[in-house]
Amino acid sequence: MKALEILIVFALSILFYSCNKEMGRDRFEELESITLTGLQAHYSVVSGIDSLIIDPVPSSNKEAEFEYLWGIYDIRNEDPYAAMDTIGKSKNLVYPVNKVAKNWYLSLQIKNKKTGYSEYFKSTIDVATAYTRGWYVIKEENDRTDMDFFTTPNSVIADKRVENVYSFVNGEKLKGKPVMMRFLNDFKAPNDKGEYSPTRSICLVTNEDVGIMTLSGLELIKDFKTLFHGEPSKRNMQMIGNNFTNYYLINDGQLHSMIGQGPGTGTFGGRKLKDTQDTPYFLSPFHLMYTNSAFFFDETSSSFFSADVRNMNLIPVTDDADVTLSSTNNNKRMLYMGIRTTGYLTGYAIFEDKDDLSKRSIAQIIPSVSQFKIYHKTLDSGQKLYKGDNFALIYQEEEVMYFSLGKEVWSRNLSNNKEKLQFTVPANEEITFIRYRKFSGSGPEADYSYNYVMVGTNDGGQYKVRMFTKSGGDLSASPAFILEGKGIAKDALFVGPTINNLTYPFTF
Amino acid sequence: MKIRVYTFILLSFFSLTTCQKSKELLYTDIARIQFGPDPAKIPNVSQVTADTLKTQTFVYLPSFIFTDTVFFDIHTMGRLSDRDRPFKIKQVQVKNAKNAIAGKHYKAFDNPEIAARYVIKAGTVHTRVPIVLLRDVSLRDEAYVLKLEVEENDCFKLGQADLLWRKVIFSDLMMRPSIWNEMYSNLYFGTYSEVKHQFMVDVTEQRWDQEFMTKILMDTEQLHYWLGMLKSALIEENRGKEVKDHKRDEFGHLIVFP
Repeated sequence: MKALEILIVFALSILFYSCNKEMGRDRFEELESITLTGLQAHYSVVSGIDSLIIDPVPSSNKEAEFEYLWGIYDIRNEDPYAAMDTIGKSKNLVYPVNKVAKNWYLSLQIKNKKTGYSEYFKSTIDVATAYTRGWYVIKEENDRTDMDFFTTPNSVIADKRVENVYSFVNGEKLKGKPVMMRFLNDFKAPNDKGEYSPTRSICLVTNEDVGIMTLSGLELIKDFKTLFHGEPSKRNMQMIGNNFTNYYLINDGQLHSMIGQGPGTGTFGGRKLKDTQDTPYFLSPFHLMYTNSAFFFDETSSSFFSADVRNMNLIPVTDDADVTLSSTNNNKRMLYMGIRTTGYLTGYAIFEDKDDLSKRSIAQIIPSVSQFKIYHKTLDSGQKLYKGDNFALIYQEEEVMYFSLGKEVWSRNLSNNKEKLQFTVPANEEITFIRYRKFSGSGPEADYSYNYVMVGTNDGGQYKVRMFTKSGGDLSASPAFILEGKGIAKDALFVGPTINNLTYPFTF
Repeated sequence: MKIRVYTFILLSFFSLTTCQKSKELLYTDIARIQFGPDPAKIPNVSQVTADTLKTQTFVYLPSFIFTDTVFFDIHTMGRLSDRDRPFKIKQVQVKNAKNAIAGKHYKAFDNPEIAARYVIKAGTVHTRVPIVLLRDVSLRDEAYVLKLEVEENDCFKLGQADLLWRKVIFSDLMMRPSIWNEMYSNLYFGTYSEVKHQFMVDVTEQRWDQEFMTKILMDTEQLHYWLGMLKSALIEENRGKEVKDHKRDEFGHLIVFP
């Protein structure tokens, strides 16, 4: 009993000392509230041309005399100690925008000098340059590669062509023939302080060189010489891509990787080994990637492999139980592979048998390291796809593949295998690529939404890229518009302020 | 009765464990001095005891080079001073180790030329302490250790007890850089051996010393570039040979990179 009393006394004494004396801090007045009109949630401006002109109207429920502090800071700055740039201290803001093209926050602090109370208001600013919105076309002229730019001032329909913008900005064309073009949302490039930060970029790949440039000004960030820790002895570029978290590159069949999210200098590591014996391999350029998955096909062993940026070896995959073609040593050569869906990563591939070149097949691929699935169908030589070229898959939407056969563009329904002639190019043109791209914009970007099957042709060194809309897998009778210029086009790509890492599938 | 005993034990336990004297010293108008990290790393609390041990070898340097300098960061507590403030360091002996000998393995701390460098400049709170190592022939046989501690003088009292010392192990031999620790052995480099270390130097033409390894370990892509080169070279070295003839270290173990 006595012990219990001691415990109670002990507990009470703790309770006694744990309470602070009430100092009468209650307030029964109405809290101050500053409201604001005249400040939009979002602004879009062109750097070097536009000014932000804002005349806000604040009000308070208290007697007030306001002071103002306008600031701008990087929306994606990875530096936690990054400072805000002060751009104004008066009520009206007139700020000639001269910032790097990306998204920024505009901040306005309004302080009531009479009460000391402040409130903060924030808007987003999409800063663009002349090059940050429009269509790009990668093209070849005399075994060299350049890029044309088409302005889109009012909608996704192209307006004016600016020829050879790559060589215009960087002094010379890229060596080699075009292989691919990609938009990279976060390629690491040195900023004005010399620190590497994620930079919206355009990547041109030729068989002999690479040009990764800022989207803002098209200035070169990396070329083949500066892209690697230890430049590979042979230049045979096949692809660069990323799966959101990491970047991958294939040169001369060898895979290199680089961390995408996190610190880095935009420089790829050494080639990955196939195994502990460094068994020779040669990867196909075709690949399937999404978020943190990446799958490749080794032409030497006819086997699929996965890859991870932290693993220095290629990662072998294992078949699922009910496949119709093995993912390893299947004696196939890959003619094409692309992504069909990403919610559940699937793709399709066209194979050719190594022993009997007359045997071709189409396969649905559901990649996985531990349960790789290939559902494989032999193509009959009478089917159009059998002799097809310039393959392109519809991403996420209809289960359709497009391909060229001579001057004809065909579709194949991948569910019922029905093939249909969609378009025939004029007799003097030859098809150089077919590509499907889509962008869904909203708000101020709604007019830039598109959903096109692009057909590139060459007519004696002049290109045309016809932009077809589609319905139920069928192309419209005539294109929505045509991009035209000098050279042989290999791909076309639209960029705008809200195009990001996940807009376009990372595939051919 | 039992409750009373338990209560007593509980209270005693609390009273014994809840209070612990802080290692950090409060500023009490006395200037103090202690070792610490590179000032750039100070915001990172895990870096407080970084660089307590450094390893250095002359083996990569040309034969006509006879001195090399290792630096440690030292910091002051207390007010800034408008005059230069000298500080003192001394050697302390490490048990069961080959201790460096002043004048033979390193320039003595009281050597006027060296002592003049042991100064906190007016208006500053930090400097880098140079330790000048001498390339004595005995360093070709084994590594020597030099442990140093700060000493009180007229300008400075001692700082925090666990930040008063630094150690450098040096030789004229292939030496395991201190960053080649167990974690990085498991992840990237495998078990240390002099033969493996020399192989790495020969293949890559890089030093693989503390500075180089620290740099590449901060950059995954660079690390993979060099490790890929080493793995390929080792595979080539062993290709076509029986396992018994594969490259082995001075202990007879197979050389591997995980």
